[in-house]
Amino acid sequence: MSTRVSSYAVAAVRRDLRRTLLVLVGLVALAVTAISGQSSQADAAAPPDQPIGIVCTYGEGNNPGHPVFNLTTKTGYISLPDGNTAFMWGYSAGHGGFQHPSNVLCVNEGDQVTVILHNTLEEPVSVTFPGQTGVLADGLPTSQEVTAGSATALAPAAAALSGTMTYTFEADHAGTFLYESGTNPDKQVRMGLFGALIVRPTMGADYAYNSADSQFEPSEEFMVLLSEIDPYQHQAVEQGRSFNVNNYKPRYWLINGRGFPDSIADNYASWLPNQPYGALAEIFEFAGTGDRPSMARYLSVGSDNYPFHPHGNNGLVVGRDGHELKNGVGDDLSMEKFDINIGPGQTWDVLFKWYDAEHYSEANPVPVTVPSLANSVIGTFYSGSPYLGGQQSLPTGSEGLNQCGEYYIISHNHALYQITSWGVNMTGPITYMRIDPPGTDHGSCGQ
Amino acid sequence: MSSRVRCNAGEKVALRFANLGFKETAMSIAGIPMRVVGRDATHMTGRDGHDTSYVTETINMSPGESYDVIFEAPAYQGGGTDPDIYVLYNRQYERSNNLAGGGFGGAATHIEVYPPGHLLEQVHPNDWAEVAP
Repeated sequence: MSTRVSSYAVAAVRRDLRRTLLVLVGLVALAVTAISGQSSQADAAAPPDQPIGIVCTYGEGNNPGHPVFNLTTKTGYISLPDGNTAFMWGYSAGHGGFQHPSNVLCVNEGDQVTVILHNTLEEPVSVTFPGQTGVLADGLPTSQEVTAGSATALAPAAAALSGTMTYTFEADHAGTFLYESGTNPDKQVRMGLFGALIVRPTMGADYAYNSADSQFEPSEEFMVLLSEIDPYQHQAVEQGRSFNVNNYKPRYWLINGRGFPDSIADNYASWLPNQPYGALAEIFEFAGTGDRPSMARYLSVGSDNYPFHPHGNNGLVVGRDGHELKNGVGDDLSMEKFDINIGPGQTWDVLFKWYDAEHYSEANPVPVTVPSLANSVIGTFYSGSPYLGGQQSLPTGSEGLNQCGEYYIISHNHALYQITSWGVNMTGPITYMRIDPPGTDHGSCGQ
Repeated sequence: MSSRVRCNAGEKVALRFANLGFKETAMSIAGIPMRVVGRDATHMTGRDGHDTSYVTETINMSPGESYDVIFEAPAYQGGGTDPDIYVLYNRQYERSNNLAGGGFGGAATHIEVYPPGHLLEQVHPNDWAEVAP
């Protein structure tokens, strides 16, 4: 991305974050109340204390090797970065309320997985599991469903209003997968009936696949689930009107169900009650031999290619569509990419490292002439020092959200019209890689 | 020309994809993995002879690209001789729809898997293969 665009980016971040900061300050007291209030509800599970990274939902039943997920269709609203809201559908696990996207289901390779779908919507709904084989629905092979001579679903559906359907399959290989509605998908998937399914390999939860070279740092595992919304389709569904899919035109694009800057807020941020999953990739530098890379699981439920682009950082693509990039005899086919061009329904598994290559510091300064303040824009997250772990006072009038001299490097969809929210620039699927200084803790900086 | 695929369980089936449209397309099979063995009429082999073929469920094709894939028809699950039906469809849903009432009407077809030996060999590509006497 050019410097010119970057300066626009910084300016936009400043505008947006000023607003976010105000909201944030206003909501601190409310947040405390809301969280303590939530825990008193009998059915609502308290959100896990996990501000960043992938929040797994595990199977019920307490029967190792046989996880059971009860997914109930729910409706609700999400907040969008331009202040708009969208009516959505979703699957909610257990007794959870509506959330978007649907729960991240985590299972182990070899598990016999049961997903019981409880439908509450006014039309039939199903679940398909792309990448899984031998899926049974109520004990029978899943097959296309035909209604009145028309193909209507990729899998048998739970009847409208109160139907149930039980899907079972063996999670026979590790990887990142989608689950989504197979019924009238250009309506139902777009309304939000989708989520991520992660199958952990036999070698362990800190491996992407059953290969020693797919090991990653488990505290630095992130989801990048990309989606899109045409607000007119959602409005039509909310009002019970028909929608001509020929007029389908997305106006919002989201990462983990949020637009920027909500995307960098913590998991379970109190002001996003139905959008629990953040997308901030908070890591430490890769310290060399013995250290492990970070892991990003990309998924797309959209209808266009999404060229996702982490700035200043290549990633090693080790898997795609839940298949490790190795050939039939185990040769490595992984590849370095700085643009993850993810197609509809695809998933990509990417290991990444951030190196403090030059070790710049006060004693080893960056060899540039710093432009005058009049020609500079001070980013919201700038620490006042260009050095990792350094902090200095900011010019008068700057706002500083930096905690302890950490770095922030943007990641975004490079189809720039897709990082907008109905025309509002620099929103949409944008997040940051946050590099914490060595010796601190994620999130708190050890403070 | 029909794009209906008929095969016996256990057979290796070759699918040749070519994107002659002007948009990316994401052909997917629900429930059968495919191995990509050729792309743009070139065998998936590196310069040093390494096999670079890979397995996927989604062929994300740019305009003008072509892909050759092979899948193995899964074990027959049904009863009698009715085929198991797997759907081959464009995951870019509006391109597998064409405004068909309530479902799939565009770039979508069936892969029909019969019990072993039910169908004779194809006579030419894309024929449906006769039922064995």
